[in-house]
Amino acid sequence: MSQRWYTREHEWVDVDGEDAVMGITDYAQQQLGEIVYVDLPEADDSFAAGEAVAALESVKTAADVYAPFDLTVTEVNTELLDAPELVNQDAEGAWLLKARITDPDSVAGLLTLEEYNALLAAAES
Amino acid sequence: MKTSLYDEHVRLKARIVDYAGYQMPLDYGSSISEHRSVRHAAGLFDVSHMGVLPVTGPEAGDFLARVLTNDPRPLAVGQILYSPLLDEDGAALDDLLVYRMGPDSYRLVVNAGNRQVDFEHLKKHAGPGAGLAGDFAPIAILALQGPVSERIVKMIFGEDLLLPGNYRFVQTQDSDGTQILISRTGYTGEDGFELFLPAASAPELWRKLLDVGSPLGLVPAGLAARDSLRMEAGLPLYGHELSRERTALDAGLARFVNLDREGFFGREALLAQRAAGQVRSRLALIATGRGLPRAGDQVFDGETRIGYVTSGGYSPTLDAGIALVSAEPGLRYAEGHELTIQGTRRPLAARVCPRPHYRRSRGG
Repeated sequence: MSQRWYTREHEWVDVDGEDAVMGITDYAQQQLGEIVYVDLPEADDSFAAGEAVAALESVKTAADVYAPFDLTVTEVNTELLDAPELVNQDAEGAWLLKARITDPDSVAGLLTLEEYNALLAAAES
Repeated sequence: MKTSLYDEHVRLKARIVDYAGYQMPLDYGSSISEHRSVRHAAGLFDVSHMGVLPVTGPEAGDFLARVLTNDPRPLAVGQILYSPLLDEDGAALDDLLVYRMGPDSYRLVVNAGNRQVDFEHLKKHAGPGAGLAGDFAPIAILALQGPVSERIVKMIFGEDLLLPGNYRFVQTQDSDGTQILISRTGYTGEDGFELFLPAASAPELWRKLLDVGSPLGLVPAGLAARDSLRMEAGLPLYGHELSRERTALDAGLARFVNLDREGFFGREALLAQRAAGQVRSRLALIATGRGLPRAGDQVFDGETRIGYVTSGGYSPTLDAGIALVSAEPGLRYAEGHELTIQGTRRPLAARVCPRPHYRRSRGG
């Protein structure tokens, strides 16, 4: 049974043991505006926590998506390559990539929904 | 500041941004679909942030002929012309439209962000025979743009109204006596109109246009669509293609600058630039890689830096990134020539394409 966590970089991560699925939050897609390109890594690519794993380009701006922990990509959502608007339509459903957590000790600082919402509320005020 | 249509934008769930001090709609959900609506049907824009400067007096025409590169004196009443506005040294302060309102009366429509600079520059050089109104009348400007605009205007103002041709305007009254100036101008590369009216009357006309026009495909459209539309159409934006650093010639506006005419600001500087072969060349690029060019990105031909992006972004019509590029003087490339756009991120492959990126088919 996975649990959904959030990051300060406005990503969501479902963690189930060493398996993870990640995407960007609805707040992030709202801030980006209409997304026209999604750049994804390839399966078996490895990233250290804090490295850019994917990039989103919107009409307005471009933004990186960061690895929340050390990971190796196991699968990417290729559907988004031709339909990037799915991220705008359903950010918390449109996953970007699936990964294996390569160092459990690198998993730190993930936020619960309540904590993430508090972060957003603080940013708004 | 807010325009008189601010509440309408909020009601339509616009994403509001600050633009030149005005709270303006960036989009109403999707700038891409607004853009497509303007190309295929019509879009309604609030452009009330534009500055309106009346210039009147017996010497108004001579004064404007001195400060503008394009001479407005030959205009008939009801005609409009486009002109860059240069300072004495040839640096571009703005670009604007001149409306000939009467024999001794003109109206300038200028960019929101430049209205104060323009006003101070003009005030400094206007003699006693050319009066510049110090206050900007609270006017609203609505831009109705797209192929079905004419049908919508006729539905609102009646079939009998003789509509103006391109770069002309007429003045009329709506059913409750409000004075409206209808000008056949725009900034999208489509047929369209700009409607000038008292700010207080604007919300009602805005709603009426959307009511009447929406069955024909009219949608409200924001600044993001306005920018992508003008970029596809290759229309310069002050601060991008034209600026204090990029002259009217660099911006490709030579046909609005008659260098044979003596006695206008900046003429000597532009003559010298032309004589020295220092006029920058302009390129239109389409990205072949996945990604969007952005203003300020550098452009390379192989290892050689040849210019930079003045405007860039997503083209909904071409479904690709596009860029307007200011390149080294004298540079010419065949269509299809491959270049690289280097932004703050990874390099983006692009090729040279015909200018402008989009031209509407006429007579359709």
